[in-house]
Amino acid sequence: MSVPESTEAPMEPFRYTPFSSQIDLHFWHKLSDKKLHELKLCEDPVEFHAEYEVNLNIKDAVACVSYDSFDVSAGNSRVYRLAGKLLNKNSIETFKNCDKKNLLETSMNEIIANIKSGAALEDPNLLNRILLLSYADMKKYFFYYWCAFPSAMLNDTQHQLGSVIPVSDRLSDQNRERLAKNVGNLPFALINKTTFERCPVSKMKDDISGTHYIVFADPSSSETNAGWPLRNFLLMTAYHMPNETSDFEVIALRGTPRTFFEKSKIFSVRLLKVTFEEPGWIYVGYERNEKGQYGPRLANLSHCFDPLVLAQNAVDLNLKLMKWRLAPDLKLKQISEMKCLLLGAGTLGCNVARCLLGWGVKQITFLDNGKVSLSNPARQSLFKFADTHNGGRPKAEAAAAALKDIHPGLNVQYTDLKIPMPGHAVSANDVEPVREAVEKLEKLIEEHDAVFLLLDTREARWLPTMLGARHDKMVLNAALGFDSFLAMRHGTLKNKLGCYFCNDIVGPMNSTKDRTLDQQCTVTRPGVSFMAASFLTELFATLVQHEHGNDALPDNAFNDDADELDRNERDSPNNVLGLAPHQIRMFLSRLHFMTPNTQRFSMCTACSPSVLSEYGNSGFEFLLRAFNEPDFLEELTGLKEMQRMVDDMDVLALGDSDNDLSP
Amino acid sequence: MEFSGVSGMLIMSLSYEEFSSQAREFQEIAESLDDGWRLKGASDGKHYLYKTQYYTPPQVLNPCNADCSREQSVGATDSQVRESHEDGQQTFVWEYNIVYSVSYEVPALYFNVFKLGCAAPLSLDEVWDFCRLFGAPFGMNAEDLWSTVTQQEHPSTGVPNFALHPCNTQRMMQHLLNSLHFEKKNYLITWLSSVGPIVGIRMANAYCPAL
Repeated sequence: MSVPESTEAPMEPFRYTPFSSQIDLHFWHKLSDKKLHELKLCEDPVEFHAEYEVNLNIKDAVACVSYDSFDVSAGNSRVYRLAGKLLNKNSIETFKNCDKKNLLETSMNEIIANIKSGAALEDPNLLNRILLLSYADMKKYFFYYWCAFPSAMLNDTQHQLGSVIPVSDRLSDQNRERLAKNVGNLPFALINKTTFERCPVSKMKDDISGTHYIVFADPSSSETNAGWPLRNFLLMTAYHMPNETSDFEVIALRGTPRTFFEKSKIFSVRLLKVTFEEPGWIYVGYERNEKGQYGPRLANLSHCFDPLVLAQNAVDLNLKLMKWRLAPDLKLKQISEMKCLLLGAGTLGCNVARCLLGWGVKQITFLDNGKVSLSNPARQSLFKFADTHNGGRPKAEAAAAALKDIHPGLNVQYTDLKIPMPGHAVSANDVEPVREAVEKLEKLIEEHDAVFLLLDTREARWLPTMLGARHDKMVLNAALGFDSFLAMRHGTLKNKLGCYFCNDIVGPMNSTKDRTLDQQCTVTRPGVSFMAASFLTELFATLVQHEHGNDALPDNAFNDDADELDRNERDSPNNVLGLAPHQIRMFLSRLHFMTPNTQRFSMCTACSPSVLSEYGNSGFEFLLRAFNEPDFLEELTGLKEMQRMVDDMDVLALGDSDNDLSP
Repeated sequence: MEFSGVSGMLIMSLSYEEFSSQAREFQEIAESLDDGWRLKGASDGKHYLYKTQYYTPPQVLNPCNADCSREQSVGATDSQVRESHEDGQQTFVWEYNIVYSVSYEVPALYFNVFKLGCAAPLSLDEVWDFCRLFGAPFGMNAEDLWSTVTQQEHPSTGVPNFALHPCNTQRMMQHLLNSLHFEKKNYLITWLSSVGPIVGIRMANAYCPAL
């Protein structure tokens, strides 16, 4: 009973679906562990195994390597096993330079030896092996690897494909059931074509081509190809079969035992006898990489194993939750990419930095010229007692180090610098250091997107306010009173909001009740700095998210220049993070809270056109005069003139009595 | 299952023993259906369910970023293979774990997604694209579910996984189980059939004992 169809049909080359290795995270995790605690520098081969299934319903034939792949005992009745050797190299060089061709040949020669000796007839599992060559870069969590499934090529005359038909064309459901039962969990079997009894594989030494099916568990689901495991089995058959040429029918088991492998195919194949003595045997089996080339693959697992990357991901994920859950329009990247310059690393600087961390900001620069003193750690949340030793660590440096401890993935810089201030005269010897300080500060401001003024004196805020206006940066400013705080953003030319100094000199809108808050006063209720820092950071986030960014108008913007303001540009409550007020002022003792807006002041000593153009024209010379001459700025801006007018008005008002005018 | 009133709200939790026995029951049904779920023992001796599922999306969702080295000579080219993915279709591997959450006393779903042949899991954003795809036919809103997604280490292998946070499970289960009108209710199956589809877990009707 030969096979009429296959002998009549024209013969085609026989083709195989190669294994696709799926080496998962768990395996590399396990290998890292093994390398560190067990293998260390040993490069000896390690026994392991891969698994394959016949019911994946995908086109790829997957050889799966997972966390129990080193565990010899682990097993599952539904999967088939490929035993093999792991060769883990100690360096990328030995990985690259090791003789891969030789590795494959050695392994295939063992398989051929097992075929010749008959050992593989007794245990066909010896036919299919997996080689895994790897190098684990444990510092970067890079895993280089290359898999091979050794085989030898039968040429296109040595084996040819007749036809491929669905199993149901030949076998009834009942016979398939008997087949499934008799094959059981074996990867290979010889099954009698009429009785469906299984006979030992070694029976292939007799002529069984007409009487038996070759049955194998096929991980492929291809219509035209057989799965890889058959390849070496056919090699063995070609070696042991008694005739010079024979036609076999091969049942490729696909599907599940429950449905009696309903998706199976029958391949008819014509084999020529081989002796392995023929010249020109070609060994194959290395897996192609993602590019379709014969080459190693790289698994970059830093984002799974590197604690730094994991921490960064966890922070980002936490923020994404906020986006998904509450604010779908939130553009987190806009916030996290802001480069923030924190001027002052005291209570405000420490707390603002921590809030920015929470928002995922990745680049923070501290600037301060103080040292951590004994009273600081209790209030300034980034410092510890140890920072006060030996005269105190520089604050900017200590704050940066602490931030780095909290989140190592950050880009934190620091600068120890004293900001030159008006009214603090510069002696001749100090001119150069002061010039350098100014240049450094201006450069820092230029390099950052947002400047936070968290300084403890009013005059220290002047230069950065002026530079912030000059470079059109987002400037955020917080000041503390004993039980009150101010958190504000500086205005822009477009929104015409004032800066700290505009407001300070004309006073806030409600000037009778609300006086300026800082006035060099660092004696505050301890919670106030936390409040100010968090309000300021949230104002920053709101502003970054605002469609007009730094130019955003507050919701309750003044209407004086209504004609000039496009009303549509006004802040709407629909903004992602809500309102972006100009100023937030809070008075804790009264639990009173207000969000006034103040306009840009044409005579402002920090941001008025006269000041900015004078700095543009005279540069540092102008600054020196501002630092050294008490009334220079007032004169320049016309404030002095205004004050004189006010004084004159007082004189007129009081003019009735000469006595009142006497000094 | 427990029904206890706490300030007027029914609390629906699952003890570990119940979880364990329902997981066994679940695994038996899965085995009879060849559905691939396996019961595994974690390092703490607690059981969890595990399944790997392969999925080839109809269109290429994520082009594979090849991350590998130059071609190397290893002898002859194998002319007798036909690669299965030569048509450019990328297969994805989904790993699912159902573990018991001690803090919330409910089951929790952990998962990771890989491109076949790539060991590094997809990012959450990439996974999200799938979930939109999976959820659509069921009218499920991916955003709702994703509001509870978080990243957790796998209790047994220590590998980071995405996890559906169990904080809402009790509330959801109370709603679900009360609306079911058949006798034999398997908490685990009811829960998984509710949250599973959005991450690509399809459950045959045979899982439901009443049908």
